[in-house]
Amino acid sequence: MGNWSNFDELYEVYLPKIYAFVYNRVRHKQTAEDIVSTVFTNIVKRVGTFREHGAGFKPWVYAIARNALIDHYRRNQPTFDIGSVEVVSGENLANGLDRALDAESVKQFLAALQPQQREIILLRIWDDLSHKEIAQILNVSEANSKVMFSRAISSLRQALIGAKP
Amino acid sequence: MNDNREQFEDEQTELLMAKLRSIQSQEKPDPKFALRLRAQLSGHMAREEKQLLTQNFNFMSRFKFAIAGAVIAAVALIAVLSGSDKVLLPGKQEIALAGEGAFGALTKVSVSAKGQGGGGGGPADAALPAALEAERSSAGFGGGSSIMPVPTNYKFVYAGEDFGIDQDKMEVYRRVKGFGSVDFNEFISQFAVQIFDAGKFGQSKLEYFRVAEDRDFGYGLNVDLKEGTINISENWERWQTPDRQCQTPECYEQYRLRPEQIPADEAVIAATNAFLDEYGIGRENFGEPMVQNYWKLDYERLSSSDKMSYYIPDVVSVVYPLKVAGAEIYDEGGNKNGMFVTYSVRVNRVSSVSELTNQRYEASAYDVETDVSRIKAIAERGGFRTWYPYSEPGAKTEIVELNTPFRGLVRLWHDLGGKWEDIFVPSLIFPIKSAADGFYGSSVIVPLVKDVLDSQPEAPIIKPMPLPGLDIPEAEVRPNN
Repeated sequence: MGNWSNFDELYEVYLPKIYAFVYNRVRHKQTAEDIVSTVFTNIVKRVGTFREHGAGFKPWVYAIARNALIDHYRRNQPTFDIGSVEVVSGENLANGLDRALDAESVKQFLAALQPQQREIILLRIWDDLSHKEIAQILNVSEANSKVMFSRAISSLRQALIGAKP
Repeated sequence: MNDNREQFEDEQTELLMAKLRSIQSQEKPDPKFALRLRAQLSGHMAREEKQLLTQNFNFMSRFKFAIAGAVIAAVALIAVLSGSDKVLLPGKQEIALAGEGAFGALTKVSVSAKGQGGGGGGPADAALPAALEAERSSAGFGGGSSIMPVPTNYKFVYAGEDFGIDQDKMEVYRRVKGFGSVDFNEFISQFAVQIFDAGKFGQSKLEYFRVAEDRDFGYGLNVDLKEGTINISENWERWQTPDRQCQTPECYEQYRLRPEQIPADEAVIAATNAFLDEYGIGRENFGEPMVQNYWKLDYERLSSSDKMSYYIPDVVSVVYPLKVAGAEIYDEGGNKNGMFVTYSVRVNRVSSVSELTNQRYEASAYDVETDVSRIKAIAERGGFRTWYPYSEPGAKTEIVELNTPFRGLVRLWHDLGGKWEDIFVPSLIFPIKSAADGFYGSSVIVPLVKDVLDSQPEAPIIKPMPLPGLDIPEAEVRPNN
């Protein structure tokens, strides 16, 4: 990362990403701000560690954010509460699976997934991370990340079809 | 068939992923939060690189300030200029011994607070309750309270035990002010200033700054680099309680406080202690805190009907008496002096902390008065404060008895011709043993340092103003001895 002279640029790039990552999982502004503050403070304090290990910067930042979230959950709630996810769009799409794709159903079946499957789906779809980056964050292989994602999507699709009225 | 199936599943997957994206929030970080966090991180970076701020004054990290990065840079510059091995705001008291008479002749000493005692000093003063101000202007001399008094002269009589002064020299303490300053040129060079030529002020120093928390009931931090003091106060814009919006008497009446709404002293002190602990403000240099309830002295003497209209202050002031070299500090009125914390009764939280100072002192020995008869005579004139006796025919005289004195330090200001030094002078404190109703004050102060005593004028001779046409002869009035 070098010296602090390029920190502003990194801050502008990563603040909205990390904020979105955190907010989507806590759905509370003040909590998100507190956690994000902790994340960036830890980034500043641990930047020496990053240099030593030479891992990709983006997954390193997300790993710090993930750990901060885990700490928050341990202090406040044991699991990710998918129920806190607001229905941003009530749009129902038309035919087949479409009719089952109302937001509430999606939320319910997302919550029913195994935690690691759910986490991979959200990192891939909400945070737009590559499988290589997800692998570094979760400390799994890239191949495993792809397999788990594929299985998770398939499970979700089957569950939603099965619940179709 | 299989191709169709695969295509169908792919389409379903795309639909599913689209729906998952649709339940994602598009919430963006608040720009104010972004600025605030960036400023905080600048501080962290400065600490990582220069190891700046002391551990002892760690309360600053509790504040979520909207600090521009340049302010933090200014603090960083202070450390660089001061030397990276120096602590900016030490909590532990440090006293350096200087030679005898090192502070010069102490002949120009102010007898009234320059504005730094009792929370009233500094460019952005902590709020001082109206009742406290009234007390400070009237202690012991029959005037200045919210009640129109009968002109009263107080005759002080020593009624304590024999005492003596067993030293001919004692230490005077002087607070070492400030912690350096910031070269203005280096500070302003970080900005593009367009409305004036900043270079014209290139030889200036940054002496003071204020930062504020932009949140409900947020605080402002006023840092006087030159004086070496910090005051915490309300960020007024964010402390707008309904009573502060009043424009009419009816509205003010609606929000008038009743005595029973004022918390007990113990509860207030518990709250102020908790605040100081939460913000890492050490209490090791202070004595036992006490609430200053001067308004109650007036209130208790009022008739029932007068009590109905009496203004009860909505802040409670707690004094944490400063200790220097183990001795508690008093002001020249005999009141304990040190750090002041005010507690807002309306919102049940601390509203200000004043007189947070660095704790570096120098000590120098000065000749002291050992003539007990002279000391008693000064005490029986009312002590160190200027005393103006009433000469009205209707003025009455009340006896105030003084008890056996004890040693303490009195905070005074030494005038160096436009610059003031914060000095602490060894003194005898005579507690009030008994006094008539209406007398304010808990003690009478007599500084022991000869320079200080010798420079104080005798009580003045007062001539009544002649009233033309009424043929009232002039008369000289001298103080009681």
